[in-house]
Formats: sequence, structure tokens, C-alpha cells
Amino acid sequence: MRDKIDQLIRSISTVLYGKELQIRQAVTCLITGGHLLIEDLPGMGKTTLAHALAHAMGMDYRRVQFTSDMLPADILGASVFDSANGSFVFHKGPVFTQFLLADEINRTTPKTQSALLEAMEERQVTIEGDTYPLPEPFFVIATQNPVSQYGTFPLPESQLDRFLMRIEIGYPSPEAERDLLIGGDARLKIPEMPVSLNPGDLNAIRQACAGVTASKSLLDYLQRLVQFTRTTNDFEFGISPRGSLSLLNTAKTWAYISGRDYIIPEDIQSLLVPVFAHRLRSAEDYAEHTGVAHVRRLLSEVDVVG
Amino acid sequence: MSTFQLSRVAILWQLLCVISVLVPHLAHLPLWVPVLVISTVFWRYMAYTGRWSFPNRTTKLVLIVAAGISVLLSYKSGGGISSTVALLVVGFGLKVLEVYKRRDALVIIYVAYLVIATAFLFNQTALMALYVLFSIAVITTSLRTVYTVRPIRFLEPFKQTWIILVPSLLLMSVLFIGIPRVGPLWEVGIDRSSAKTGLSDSMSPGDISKLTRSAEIAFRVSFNGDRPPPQAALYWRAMVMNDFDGRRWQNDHYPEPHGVLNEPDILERKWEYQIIIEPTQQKYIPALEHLISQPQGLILNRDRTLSSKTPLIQRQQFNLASSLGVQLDKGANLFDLERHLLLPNGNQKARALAHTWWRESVDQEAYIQKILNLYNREFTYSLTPPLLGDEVIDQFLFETKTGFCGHFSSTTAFMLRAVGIPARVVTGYQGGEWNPYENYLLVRQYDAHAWIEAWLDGKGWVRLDPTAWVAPERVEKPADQLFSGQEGFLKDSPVKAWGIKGGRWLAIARQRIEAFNYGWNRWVLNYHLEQVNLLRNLLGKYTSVRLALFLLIPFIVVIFITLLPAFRKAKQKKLNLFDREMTRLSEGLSKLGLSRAKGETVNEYCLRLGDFNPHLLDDLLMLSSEYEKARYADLQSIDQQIFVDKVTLCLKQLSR
Amino acid sequence: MFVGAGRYIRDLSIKWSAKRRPKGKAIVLDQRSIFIFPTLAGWMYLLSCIVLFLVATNYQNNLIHAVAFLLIALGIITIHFTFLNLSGVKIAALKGHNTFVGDMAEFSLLIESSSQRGYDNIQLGWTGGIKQSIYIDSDEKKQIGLYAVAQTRGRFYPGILKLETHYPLGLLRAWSWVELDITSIVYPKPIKGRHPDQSIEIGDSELGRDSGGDDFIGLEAYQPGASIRHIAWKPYAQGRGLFVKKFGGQSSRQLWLDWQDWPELASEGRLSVMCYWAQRFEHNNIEYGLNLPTLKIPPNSGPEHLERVLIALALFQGE
Repeated sequence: MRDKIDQLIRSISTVLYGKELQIRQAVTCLITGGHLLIEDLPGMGKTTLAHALAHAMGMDYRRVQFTSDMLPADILGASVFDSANGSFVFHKGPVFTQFLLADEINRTTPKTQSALLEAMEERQVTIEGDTYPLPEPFFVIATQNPVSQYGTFPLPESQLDRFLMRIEIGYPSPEAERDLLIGGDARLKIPEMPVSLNPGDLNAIRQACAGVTASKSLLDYLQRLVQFTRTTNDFEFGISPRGSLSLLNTAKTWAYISGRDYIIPEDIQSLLVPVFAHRLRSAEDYAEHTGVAHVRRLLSEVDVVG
Repeated sequence: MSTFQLSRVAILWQLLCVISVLVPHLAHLPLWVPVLVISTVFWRYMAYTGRWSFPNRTTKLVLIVAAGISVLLSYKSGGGISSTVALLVVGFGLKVLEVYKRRDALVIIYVAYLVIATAFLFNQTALMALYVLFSIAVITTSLRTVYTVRPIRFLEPFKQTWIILVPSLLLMSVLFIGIPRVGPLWEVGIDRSSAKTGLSDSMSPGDISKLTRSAEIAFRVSFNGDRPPPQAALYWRAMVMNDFDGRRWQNDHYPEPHGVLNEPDILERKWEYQIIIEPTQQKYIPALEHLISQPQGLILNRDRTLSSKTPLIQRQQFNLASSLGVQLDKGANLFDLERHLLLPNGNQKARALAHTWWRESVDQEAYIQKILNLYNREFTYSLTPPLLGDEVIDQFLFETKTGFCGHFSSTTAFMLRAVGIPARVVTGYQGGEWNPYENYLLVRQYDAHAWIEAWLDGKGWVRLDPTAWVAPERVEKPADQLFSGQEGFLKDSPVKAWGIKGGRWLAIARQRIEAFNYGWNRWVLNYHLEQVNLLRNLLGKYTSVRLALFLLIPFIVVIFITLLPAFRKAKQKKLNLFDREMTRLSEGLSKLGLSRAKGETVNEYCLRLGDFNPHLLDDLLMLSSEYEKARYADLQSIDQQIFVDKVTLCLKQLSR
Repeated sequence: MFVGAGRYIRDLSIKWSAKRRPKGKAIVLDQRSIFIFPTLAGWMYLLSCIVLFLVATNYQNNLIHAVAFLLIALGIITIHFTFLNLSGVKIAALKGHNTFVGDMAEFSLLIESSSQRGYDNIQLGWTGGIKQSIYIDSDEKKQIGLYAVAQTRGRFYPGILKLETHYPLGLLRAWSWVELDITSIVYPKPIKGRHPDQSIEIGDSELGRDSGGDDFIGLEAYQPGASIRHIAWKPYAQGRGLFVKKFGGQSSRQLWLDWQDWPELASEGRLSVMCYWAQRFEHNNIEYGLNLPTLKIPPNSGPEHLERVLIALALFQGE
């Protein structure tokens, strides 16, 4: 199974140059069964990454470009009166797919945002009293422009932890950029990419990940990290139990992808920023919630041993 | 503080505390007091469950006034401590009705401490001490619940109380042993309407038999050197009676000067002993024949008996010395002797017999021998003799011929006086039961005895025990063995007598209990008498510096032991061996600036060290992989010794 | 002379205790910072012991002596248990919650055992503030809120925290003063004042005001020129005067709270009024900006924006 994941990562690397770490993080997030938020400036490859992931994992994929005039019904679907048989028929919206790319989610109104986030959380859609389950598996990759951009509705904090991870892609290295310039438009290459996973593979991988050992010593470290966020003044709120469980689960997947059946502190450290940063808000800086710098403090101030 | 409301558990413990304090006082309080306290406790309980309401102000006032008057009426005569205790108990019984705040609770609890301690004024048995300890635990629990905010189950605070109480008991023993006792600061009386017990200050022939029915303890004696004198020598003189009115003997209380302990004429072996006397409400102090010391605070009478200045209302202990075979007052003056010759009229037949025999006898000894022979031939020893009429001596000598020590000694003294030999009756105790577990002699009331002393030419006062001629075993065996067949023996004390009449195991058990009681009396109840000796033995020399040290050192030890668990738990948790070794490596290299950063994993650290010294890279990599396997993969098979050696090696190589 | 010496000693003891007072964000109480002294109840208890001792001496009753000694020993052992009930308590400052002048400011503290022991009945409170009794289990972290009255605008330091315990028997009082590194921000007291009318900035066009949205916000006094479609006829019919219905929606209206808008008020008054209107606007979902001489916050809405505005008002230092 591991080689399939390796293959998956490798094939995505052919369209997103020099971003192996981000790809691994995204894959980890999806295998663990969570939703992913990618935050970066336009044109950094957010859409490419999402599209490539969907394709390589062999899932049906839809992309929704969020705009300010979008209504919840545009995402979820609506009941329409069918005059032919005289009853209401539910027309499924774009959310009914295995893999949804919610592009620039911060461009739409909070109302529409929360409709999507609710669907993500509950993995079902309820319209006028009727409940429609979403397909299984169901992934959302949402992309968001950094908040400082004008005319956007940043996701409210309470909604942020619906995403298992938040990653940034960042500028490519000069070498990678050179490759990109030579390689041409990556998006065109996506349909030619091999499909790495069968529908059954995902479940098998998830089971294998669940069997990864988290030793007592490692759990101690994890708890020390969580405790640090709760007792230090720098954070407005500590990490919730949901947050610590998320870290443990993603670390299991990460360890599995790395070819181990036990977690080591490096696994935790690699995932600390994507899993914790969006769940922490600085106590000093009331407006922003970029916890990245503070998570780096966690990395340097919490002892690994002991 | 005043707005603080008591928790329900706290109120329940308050009520329990009141009841537990009341129990030991039930025996001496007027009946209405416990009834009142139990009712108020019940009322408070009903208020606690919400079924009744609290009494209003008027009811409380009426109760207080009524209770106050009742106490005054019950103790019209003043009453001393007993009425004070009653007042305290009543007062805090009433206070129960208004316990809802912390301050009320504290009043009850502090008074409870006082009241439970006064229980010892009325009863000082070991059982009572155990009960008081239990009661103090209850009171302390009650105090504890007042200051607890954590929600607790009912019994939880009681268990926790012992955590404080047990070290306190240790400290208490230190204080008890070491703190010097001073005498009473002012006179106090304890009102106890109990009757006099023990020997009476007069003796008519039937008197002693009352005592043989009782297994009450008269006194206990422990001898220095542990071994007691032989049974037949154990004559405990209590009172000497020299005045005979034809029926009863008593001391004439002639205003004689206090006795002087002149050098005894013949001094045999000297016995030093401690005697602990049960309260008798009388003044006599029994002493082994014959006394050669005079303890302070006691009166020495001219007949070499001891009296206390005040009646014995509490168990008391005295250190005495006696010597067997002392001849007394060989050169007594004539006046003194004449008082021992007076006889009232009557008993003519006996007088006649006496004169006949006197004429037939060569000397005083022969005369006495005749009397004793008579007893030996024709008389029987019995605890239940027939009653005698007016002419006591005649009737006994010629008609009934059955009796016990009282009859024999009374009659013999009469016969001696009738022919001009000075004689007196001595009452006291004979024998006793040796307790081999605590090495002391126990003398009970049924060991009471009467004998005579006759003043013989050239010998002085000589003890004669006519009973021994009739029933020599009375003197040679302990009374319980002798009397056990007799009908009247121990008639009045069926419960206390268990084991005295019973089999061997019961006897051993009884002796064990007796031994315990003796130790209790000597080392606890009368500890102030032993304290100086004990401390001198313990300290070598009795100086205040040593005493202070003696108090201080156990103090510190106890406090240390108490605190130990708290400190041990406060210590940092123990590191795992592999973590410890990594810490050792990191600390060992800190001088070189190569210690591990906090957030640095062991892998990263080892790689960094490998950069520093590439020769060691393989070892370091092995170290990190072993660490990883042991700590994160939970493999048990990692060899700890190899790991430790490897760390030592790396440390040495890197430090070079 | 005497007074001077007394004051000198008092100053010295204050200095001494201030030096011993631990300071920081997280503090573990230890023997250096814990004081212990008998309570009034403790003195009473001692008195009871002395009474018992006198009774014992006078009656030469060794068992009553024993009780007196036991009670004294109990008192001595209690010193240590009282001390242990404070020693090892770890107290950490979590967060000071912002509030308005005159309200109670809440300070969140985290209290836990650093000694694996449990604690019972510890009272804590800011000096002069309300006390709160808590207990801590050995493996428990307890978050508590302690309140202090916010008196003045700006950064609020609640003062010295006093921890005190009488546990287990109330005979002794152990206490500790700590200076926790915790502050909160106190906003100006909101006072209703004149609406910052003049500063209504019409959105993109004159039309913006009328088609601002379809949510009814409230009534506004009629001003000549207002659209006749929006006149509220019902109050007019009731004889209450001429009003205009106001409608609002997201981003349709942008208002500025400008320092210059209330020239008739002193600076604290201005801050109070601005504080009031900021809350009102937030409530009515109107976008508003803040314009202080030293700081400008562009119009926006939402709880985070409100907080920024209020903090700016709270910390404003004058022109």
C-alpha cells in the first residue's frame, strides 16, 4: 500500500514542482479523512494541487468558484417544482461529489460559507426537512486568499477548526520555478496523470494507519505540547481536545506514509504547523490568527524528551 | 466568615460529636440532662432533614431558662466539677439548636473537647481512654468538615482525620513522658457520693466475712527486685484496734503523739515496694509488716500503721519499705501497755477458763499454746458461722465453735487481756495473688484478714494469727484457692469473679487483664509518680537541657515522618532509563555547547553530534535508532546495558 | 520618635514581603512565599488546651494531661498540614477579559497541583476584592475567573493576588501574596450621545442610502430631502412627529467615528460616546470606521472589528 502512496505523491510532484512537503501534508490530511484549507496568494498552485490530488486518487471531482453573489442553494442544491409529475424534486448541488474544490471560499458571504461548512461537518445536506447523505469518501479542499486582500470575508475562527489542516504553498524555489517554466502549464498535464488509488485502497490504508503505535513517551510529548498552549499566555485559547486528537491521527498517517508503524516526535513536529496554527489565536494580536510564529515557539520550547 | 454556611456532612458530624461526648457522662448526670441533649440533637436533625423548623426565639429562651434552673436545682449543694460538667453539657446541647454558621460550630466543637476530657474525672479505665480517643477523632472530624469545601461522602473525613491524629498521638506520647508535672495549683474537690469500701474502722466478729464476698481490688504491690516475700509472710497491716466494748474492737483514738520510727530491734531482710491503693474513702494505708519507712505526706501512727491526711478518693501510689521479723517496742512504757489490758465486764465463763489455764501454765508461751491447741482440736473455720448473741466470747468458745478470723482474733485477744497479757487486734489483708506477667502482687478485698498482736516479755509486740491454727491453709494458700469451696465466697460479685472460680485458661486470661490494668495504673494513671525516676533512667541525668533535647528530638522525628510522604510525592517524577541516559549525554556535553535543545528530537541531536565528530556517526545513529525503538516503537528487547555503554563511549569520545 | 520607628519597621516589612512576593505568569507557591500564623479560632483552641492542662494539673489526672497534650500535638501537626495545603499550588495567569469602566473585569487563572497532592478550601482573591473558595484534585487543572472592579480606562492591572487557607482544622492561616503578570483592557464607559450624523459617508452613490438593504434598522428624525417612500406614517399618525424608516444591510453604509465629531465634549466624554456608537453600529450591522488623532481603523463590522475599535478607544492616550 505504501508504494501506492509514494506513487501518488510522486505523480503529483510532476505537476507541482518542488512542493513535496506540502503534497505529503495534503495527502496525509485526506487519508486521515479531514478537510484541507489551502491559504495562499492567487497563482501559487492551489487549484493545481487540489485538482491533481482528486485525479490521482481516482475520485470524481468538482470545482466551485465562490463569488460574493453565491447563495447556499448554489452549493447545496434546491427543490424545484416538477410540473410533469406535480411534486418537488431535489436537484443536487455541486457539493454532491467525492472531491470538492471550494475555490476562494473567502470571496462569498458568511451565509454561504457556513452552509458549506455545515455540510462538511455533518457529511450530509438537509433541505426543507429532507436529508441527503453526501458520497463517501467526501473531501473538501478549500482555498482562501490571505485576509489582507480587499473585498473578502475571512472564515470566522469558530469555523476554522472544521478543517483538519491548513497549509500554505509558498513561492517555488528558483530551481523549481525553472522546471515550471520549462515544463509548461501544469494543469494540462493533470488528465494524463496515472490514477494511483482504487476505491478500495483508501479504506485499506486508513485501517493500516489506525494500527500505528503511539507510545506512552510520545503521548507525553503530545500532551506537553497541548498543555503549553493552554497554560501560556500567548494564546487566547488553548488547543481543544479535538485539536489534540487531530494531531495524533494525522501523525499516525504521516508515520505510515514515512514507512514506520510507530510515531516519532519528528512526525508530530512536521504536522504541528498545519494542524495547530489555524486553531490558535494570539492573545496579543486581536485581529489576526496566524498562529504560525507561536507554533514555532511550541517546537522550540517544549522538551521532546522527559 | 460569619456568612459561611455549614455543609450537610458538617452538620451531621456536629450532631454525632455531641452524642459521642454525652455518652461517658450518662452515669453521673441527672437523667433529664441526656434527655434534653438527645431531644435537641433530634430536633436539629429533623430541621436538617427539613421536616421540622428551627425553634423560634421564645422557645429557645424558655429552654435556656428552664435548663439553667434545673441545673441549679439538681446541684443545690454546689456540686463542684460535676455540676460544671452538667452545665457545659446542657449549654452545648442547647447550642446545637442554632448551629448553622461556622462560629456556632466552633463553639460546640471546642466545648466538646473540654467535656470529653472531663470524662476522665469520673472514669479512668483503659476502655474509657479508648472511647475518648474515638470521641476526639469524631470531634476533630467535625472540626475538619467545617473547613472542607470539597464535596465529600459521610465517612471520608473521618478516615482522613486519622492522618493527622496518628502523628499527633506519637507527639502526645513524647509530651506525656517528658513534660514535668506540677502539684495542684489550688484545692479542688470532687463530689462523689460513693460509700466507703474496704476495711471498716471497727471490727466485730462477723465483719470480715462481708469482704470475702467481694473480688474488688484492694491494692496492688510491686516489689523492687521483683520477687515477693513468701505467702505466709504477707501480713498487710492496715489498722490496729485496742479498745474492746464487749462486742466490737476499735481504735481508741487516744490523742497520742505521732509515731517515731525508732530503729527496729531486729532487722531482717528489707523489702522496698510500691503500693497502689484503690480509693476507699478512708484514711488507712496498708503496709507490709513491719514498716520501716515513712513516706512524705502520710501520718505515722504510734502502732506503726500509716494514715493519709485526707480520705483516699482516688487511686494513689506510695513507695514504702518494710522488714520482716522486726520486734516492736520491746521497751514500751507502762501506760501504753495498760491501754491494751482493759476489758469490759461480761463473758465470765471465758474469763474463768482463762484464769484456770493461766494458773496451769508455766509462762506466757505455754498459755498461748493452750488456747491455740483448743482451736486446733475443737473449732472449725467457716465463712458462714452461726450468729452470736450478747456474750460473744462465751458463746463462741463454748457453743458455736465455728467462725473465721474475726472470731478467732477477737476471742484470743480477750483471753490474753483477761490474764494480763497486753493484746490488740490488727485488721488488714493477708496474702495476695502474684501476677507473673507484670510481676506484681494483687490483693483483693477477699484477702481481708484479722489477727492479733500480743506484747510478750522481752520480745515486744509479737504477731499471733489464731486462724492459722484452725485453718493453716488460710495463710499458706491464696484466698481464692482456699475459699472457692465455701458457700459465701464471692457471693456479691458474680461478674467480676469470672476466672477466679473458673478453670485454668480463664485464670490466665484474668491474670493477663490484671497485669494490663496494673501497668495502666502504674504507667499511665500514676505516671507523675514514676516520671522523675523514668526520666532519670532515660536521660542518665535529669537536667533541663537533656529534658529539652528529649522533647525536641522525637518532635522533629515525628514531624519529619509526617512530612515525608508529602515531600516524596513532590519530587520530580522518575525519568525512564533511556531518557535519563540522553539527559546524561546532553548535560555531559553542555560544557562544549553541545547540549540538546529543548525542541530537538533525539535523531536530530545525534545527527548534529555526528557532524561535530564524524567518526562517531555510526555509534550515534545506532544510539538514536535504539532510543527510537525503545521509546516510540515500544520494543522491550532493547539492551539497556549496551545503550548505557554506548552513551558513555560517545560522551568520552566527544568530550575529548 | 516611636511613630517614626514604627513606620520604619512597617516600611521595612512591606519592602521585605514585596521582595519575597513571587512575580510572573505562572507561580508555584513554596516555603519562601508562604506565611503562616494562628487564627482567632486557633488562639481559642490554645486557650482550651491551657484550660485542660490546668484541670489536669489540679486533679493530678494524667489522662486529662494526655488529652491536653494530644490537642496541643494536633495543633502542631496541623501547622504542617495547613502549610502543605498551600505549598505546591501552581497558579498561572491565563487571560484578562476586557470590559467597560465600572464593570467587573474577569481574569482567568489556571490553578493546578504541582505536587501530586490535592488541595482543599483555598480562598483566593485580589486584595480588596471578592474571595472565592476552591479545591483542587491532584490531577486536576482548574480554570477559575476572578473578578475585580474596573475603575479607569486603559490597561488594568488587578493588583496582588492573595491565596489563603485555614484547612484542615481552622487553627492556622497560611497565606501567600503573588503578583501575577496579567492585565486586561478596560474600555471607556459607553455613554449615549449625539449620533455622528454629519459623518455619514454615502456608499458608492447617493442611491446607496436608500437602497442600502432591506433590513429595517430603526427610525430616524426626518430631514428635508429624505425620500418620501421611507417616511414612517404610523408614528406620524400617532402624532409623534415625522420620522424616516432606515434600512441597512451589509456593507451598504459606512460610518466613521471621528474624534472631531464631538467638539463639545472633553476627551473622555468623546471616547465614551464613540464607545457607545461603536456598539450600536455593530449591533445594527452597520460598517463603521474609527478615526482618532493617532490611529485610523477603516470601516468594517464583526466582533473582531468591534474589539479592535474598543481597544483603540481604551488605550487612546490623548492628542
